[in-house]
Amino acid sequence: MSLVSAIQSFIGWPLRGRPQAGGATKRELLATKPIRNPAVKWADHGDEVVLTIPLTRGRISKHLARVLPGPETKRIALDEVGGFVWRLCDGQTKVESICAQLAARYNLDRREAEASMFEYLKQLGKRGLVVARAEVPAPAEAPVAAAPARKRRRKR
Amino acid sequence: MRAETHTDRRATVVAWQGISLSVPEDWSFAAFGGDWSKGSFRVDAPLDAFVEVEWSPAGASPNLKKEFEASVARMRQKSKRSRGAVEVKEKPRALSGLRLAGGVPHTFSLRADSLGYGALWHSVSGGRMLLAKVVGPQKESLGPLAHGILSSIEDHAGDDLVEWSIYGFSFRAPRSLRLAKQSLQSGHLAMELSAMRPSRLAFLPFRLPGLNLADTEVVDRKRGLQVDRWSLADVILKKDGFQHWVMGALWPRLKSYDYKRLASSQGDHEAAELRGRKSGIPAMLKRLPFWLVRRDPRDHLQGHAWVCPESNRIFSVLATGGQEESRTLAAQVVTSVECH
Repeated sequence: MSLVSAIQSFIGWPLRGRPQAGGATKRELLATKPIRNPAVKWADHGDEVVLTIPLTRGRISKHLARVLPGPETKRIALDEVGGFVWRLCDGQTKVESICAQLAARYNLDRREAEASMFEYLKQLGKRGLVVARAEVPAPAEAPVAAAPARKRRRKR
Repeated sequence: MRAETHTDRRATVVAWQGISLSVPEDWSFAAFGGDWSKGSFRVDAPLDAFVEVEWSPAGASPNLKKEFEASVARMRQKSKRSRGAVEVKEKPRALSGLRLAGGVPHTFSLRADSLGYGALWHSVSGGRMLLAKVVGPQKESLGPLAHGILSSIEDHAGDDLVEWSIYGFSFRAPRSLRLAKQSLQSGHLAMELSAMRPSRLAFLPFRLPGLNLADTEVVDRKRGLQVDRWSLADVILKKDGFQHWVMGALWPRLKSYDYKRLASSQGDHEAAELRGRKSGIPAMLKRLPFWLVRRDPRDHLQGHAWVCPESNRIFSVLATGGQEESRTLAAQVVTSVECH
């Protein structure tokens, strides 16, 4: 994705507790605080961060698992930059601050850092690994298991 | 209290298609369109202000008033489509005393959801008509900011060397090279500039109906320049050394050349120099007639790549063309790149 058009990609980023319907403005997005999904366990491995994600099972795969037991979790290794962002997704740090820290640490242009951040957070958000806390307090929710990257809709 | 202008803060230069301007350091290049003769670009502030520059070819003595009215009509039509009304005033006080290209521009202000200040002028040296506007929230500080930004705009279309500068990456290239391709991604900026040559149609002894021969310039694929910048050098060079990595990164462009890597240094930085010629039997056959008439077939490649630890970036410049031509061009561009 081009640097120039990447900025528009954050529209699809899931925002919990968003004060209004429709796409978030850039100002709103920068003020949000991404938080890691508590169901995801993670560990530091030097520069890298390894995530252990519980897998969700459908009705059929639950029955299948009794006969053919498969792994209950999957592991994803984030690279150095990904790990740097992941550690800052603590629910206290704003996206704006993460962008600033990323730009300072790796000597990136502000827009480069923002574009990379928005794209990266969008991907983490799609997989249910992080959610964003807006300034408006959202109703408390129970931790949810990370969703698989693609979820098929059941036809009725 | 004095209103803040961008000259109070650190400024950065944005230069695109021969037009340069100075904006506050936290503003960045956001959108672009068109080409050398007609196009536009926009530079955004972190949140809600921006400057937009448009250019189009101008005749010998264009009528500024007429051009301005046409621009206002376009703006009104645009705002009508977005169901808003735009109020245009000429010669706003905030832009009094503004001089551009040695002359007095046609200045105006816009008021709709946000406030804007703009100027329209004829760049005699570049032969282009320029329209620039600074738009932002309705605050008092916008006037001095717009004055500062607009007064910094320069058209370098008439210069021998033209500056390109985006996201802190700047270099100078000869005017004859035009932007053919660009890839502006976070972490990797790549710009490909190609020389233009008159189309063979321009040499026809008769005129083809509906064909303007002045526009029949085509890209000369033999002469060109490829400039790249990669960010996060410390991360990408962690596994491979620089010499190994750079060969892999440049491979798509080097694969059609028979090249060799020479020991090199770029100041204190680790560097690689590449020299080569087009490889393969077709390239050798193409060289034959040039060899018979003792002319340079212009199938040479000259490249420089280096890693700058201070800016944590990797740069590369590849020039193609005649042997001397490519060496001179590459050296000229390399010296113009400010890596840190």
